[in-house]
Amino acid sequence: MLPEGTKQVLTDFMKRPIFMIFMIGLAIRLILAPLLTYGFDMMHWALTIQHIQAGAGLYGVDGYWYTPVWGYFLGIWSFVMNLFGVVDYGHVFDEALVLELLPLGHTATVTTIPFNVMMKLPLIAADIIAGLLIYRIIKEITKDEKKATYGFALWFLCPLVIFSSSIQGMFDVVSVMFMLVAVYALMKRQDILAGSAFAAAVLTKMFPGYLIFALIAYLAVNHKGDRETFLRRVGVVSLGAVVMTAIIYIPQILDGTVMDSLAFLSARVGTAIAADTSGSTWDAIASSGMSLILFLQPLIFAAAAFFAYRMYKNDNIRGDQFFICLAATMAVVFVWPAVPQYLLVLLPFLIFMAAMFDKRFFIPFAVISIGALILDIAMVNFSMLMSVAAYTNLLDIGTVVSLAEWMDGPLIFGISKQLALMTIGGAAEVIGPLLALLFIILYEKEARHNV
Amino acid sequence: MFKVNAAVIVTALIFGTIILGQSLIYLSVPNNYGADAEIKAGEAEYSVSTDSSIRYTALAFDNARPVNTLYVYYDESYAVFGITHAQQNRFISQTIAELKIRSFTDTKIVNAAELADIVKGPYEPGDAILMTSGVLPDTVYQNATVDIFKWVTAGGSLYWAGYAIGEKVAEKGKEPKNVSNYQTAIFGKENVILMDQKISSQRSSNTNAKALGEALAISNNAVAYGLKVSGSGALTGVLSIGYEYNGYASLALVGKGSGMICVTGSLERTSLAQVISSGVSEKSKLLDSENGSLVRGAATGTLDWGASGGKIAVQIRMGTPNIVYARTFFSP
Repeated sequence: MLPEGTKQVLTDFMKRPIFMIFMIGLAIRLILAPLLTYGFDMMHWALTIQHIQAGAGLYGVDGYWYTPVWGYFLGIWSFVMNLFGVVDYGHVFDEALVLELLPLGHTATVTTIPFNVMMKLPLIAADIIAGLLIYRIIKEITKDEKKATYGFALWFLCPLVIFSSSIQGMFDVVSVMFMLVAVYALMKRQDILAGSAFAAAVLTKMFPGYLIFALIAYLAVNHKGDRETFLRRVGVVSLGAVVMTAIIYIPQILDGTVMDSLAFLSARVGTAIAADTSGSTWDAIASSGMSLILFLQPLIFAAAAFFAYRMYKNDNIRGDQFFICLAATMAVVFVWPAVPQYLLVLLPFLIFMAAMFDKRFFIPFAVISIGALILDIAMVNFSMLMSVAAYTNLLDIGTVVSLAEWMDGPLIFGISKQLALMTIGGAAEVIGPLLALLFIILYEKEARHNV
Repeated sequence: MFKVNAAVIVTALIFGTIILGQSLIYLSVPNNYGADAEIKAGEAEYSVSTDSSIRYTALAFDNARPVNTLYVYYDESYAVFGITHAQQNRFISQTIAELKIRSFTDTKIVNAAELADIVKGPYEPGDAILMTSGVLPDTVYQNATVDIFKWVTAGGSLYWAGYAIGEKVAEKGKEPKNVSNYQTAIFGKENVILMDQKISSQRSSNTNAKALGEALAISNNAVAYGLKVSGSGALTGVLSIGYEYNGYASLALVGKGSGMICVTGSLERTSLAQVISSGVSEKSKLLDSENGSLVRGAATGTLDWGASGGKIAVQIRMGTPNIVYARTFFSP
C-alpha cells in the first residue's frame, strides 16, 4: 500500500493533461517498438554488444564508430539482456541480401524482435526524461502549467522523436537529454552538473558542442559587472566538463583507441573532403552537401559566436535571450539536409520558443518534424518491416524486399520514389531551420518595436 | 527539481552510469564461455557453458586441415595493390582479433625476407600463410629458388584476400609488375579469376558446400577477384562455401598438390577468420550440426555421422548474428 500522501500526489498527477499525453506517447512507442525497426543501426548495436561480450571492448574489433558514451550504455544493456535471457540477437537471411544492393545502408542481418524492443527501452526512457526536463524548464520560467504541458506534448508526441527512439533505435535523444540537463543545471547554478552533463552530451553526439558560446554568454549575461563570479562559474563548469571527459576517455587513453572513438567524425569529414559522386544520386548529394557543410564550419561557428555576443549585448527584460540564442545557434548548424535524427537537438529550443514566447515557432518545429520524418521513412524504406517479416507470420521477406525495390524504382524522369520523397523531406529540413531564423528576426523586431 | 541534493544525485547518476558501463566492458571479463568436445569414431560428444544468455552452434565436418601457426605477411618496404599499407595493417589487426575470438592465437607477422625463410621449407604440418597485400614479394614469387606455390604444393595452406592472386609481383621498394599467364601457372588454366567486383545474394550451388557454408556462418558475399568454381571453365577440386556470382565464388578452397589455396573475394575478416580457425579444406563435408540456447548454464550434446574421411573437426561457437566465442577441436 502506498502512503496516503504519495497516493494523493499520484492521483493528482493522473488527473492532469500531461499524464494523458504521457500515456498516449508511451503507448505509441510501445506499439511501434516491436513492429518497425531500422535494421542497419540495430545490427550495429548487436555487433557492438557482441564485441563487448567477446571481451574486445568498444574498439578492439571494428563495428562501433562513435564516441564512447553510447557504447557504455550498450555495455550496461549487454548485462541487462543477459540478465533477462535474451539469447538470440539476430540472423543473416540470404533472401534479404538483395536489400544490401539498394542505396542507403540496408542489411540482410535481421535483429530479433525481443532484441529490438530491449534496445529501444533506454531510448524511450531518454525521451521521457528529456520531455520532463522541457516541461520543468518551461514551468519554472513561466509558472504556467498549460505552457509546460504544451511543451511536453510537442516533444513527446513529435513524430521525429518517436521515430528516432522507437523505430530507428538511434541514440541522439541521449545526447539531447544530457544537453537539457546541462541547460537546466546552468540555469539553476549547478555548475559541476552543467559542465559534466554538457561533456556527456557532446561525447554522445557532438552537435551540442556548438552551444558552448551560448552557455558562456549566459553566464556572462547573468554576471555582468561581476567578473569574478563569472570567471569562477566558467571555471567550475569547465572543471565538471574536464573531469567528465577524462573519466569517459580513461579506457581509450589506456588502450590507445582514442582515435578509433572519433571514427564517426573523421568518416564524416572524410566523406566531405573526398566528395563521392560515383555512387547513387543521393550519395552524391549527401557527399557534396557534407563537403559544403564542412567548408561552412568556420561561418557556422562565427554565427554561433555572433548570437552569443548579441545575447550578451541585448537587454534581457523578457527573459528570452538565452533561448533565442540557443535556437538560433542550432538552427544555423542545421541549415542543410541533415540525417534526420541529428535535428533532435534543435527541437527542444524551438519548443521553448513556441511554448514560452511566440507560438509561431510551432511552424518551423512542425516543418522540421514532418520533413525529417518523411526523409527518415524514405531512407529506412520498407526494410523497417524486416524483423516482423523474418520472425512472424504477418509478412514474408520476399514481400518486404519487393516493396523496398519498388520504392527504389523510378517515379518520374528516372528519379526513384525514394529519392523523390527524400528530396521533399530534405527540402523541409532546410526550410525549417531557415523559418526558425526568420521567426527569430521577426520576433526580435516586433519585441523591439513593442519596447 | 535541482536543489543541491537533487543536483548531486543527478551528477552522481551520470558519472555512475558512465563508470558502470566502463566497468562492465573493461574492468571485468564481461562474460565467460567454455566448450569441449571428444571426437570418437562416428560421433562427437560436446559440452558448452556460459554465464551469459546466448545461442550456440555445434558442427562437425571431415577432411579438416588444422592451422597450427598462421604467418601473416606485412612489409611496408614492398608495394601493395588494391589496398594501402595502413588499410592492410588495420585489416590484419582486425583479422587477428577475430581469430582470437575464435580461440586461435598462434599468429606471427612476417616480412618478405621472413616469408621467404618459411616458404624455403621444409614445410611444417599446420603452417599457413595469410596474404592481404594484393602483390607477392619477389622473395617468394617469380624467384628461381623460392616459390610460394611450390610450398603450397608441398602441403602448405595459403589464404589470399585482396587483389587477383598471383597477378602482381614486386621487388623491394619498386612498383609492382604484372606476371604473364599467372593463372595457368597457379591453377592450370586461364580466366578462373573474376577481374571485377560484384555482390551476390546466391549461396553456393553445391548442396554440401552450401550446407557447410551456412553451418560455418560464412557471410562474405562480395565476389571480387574470386575464383571460377562452377560452369564452363571452372576449377576442379574446389569447394565454394560462400556465395557465387556467374560461377565465381566469394570464398573458394582449392587443392594444389598436398596443399590448399583459399581465395576470399574481398577483404572480409569474419569469414576469413572462420575458415582459418575451423581448418575447413577443399575436401570437407558437413557431417552434423545442431543449435541450442543457454541462459547462464551448460549443455551437452552428441553429433553423429556415418562415412567420413581424414581429420574430423568439431567447431562450437556462440552468438548470433556475430560470434562472441568459438573453438574448434580436431580428431588426432
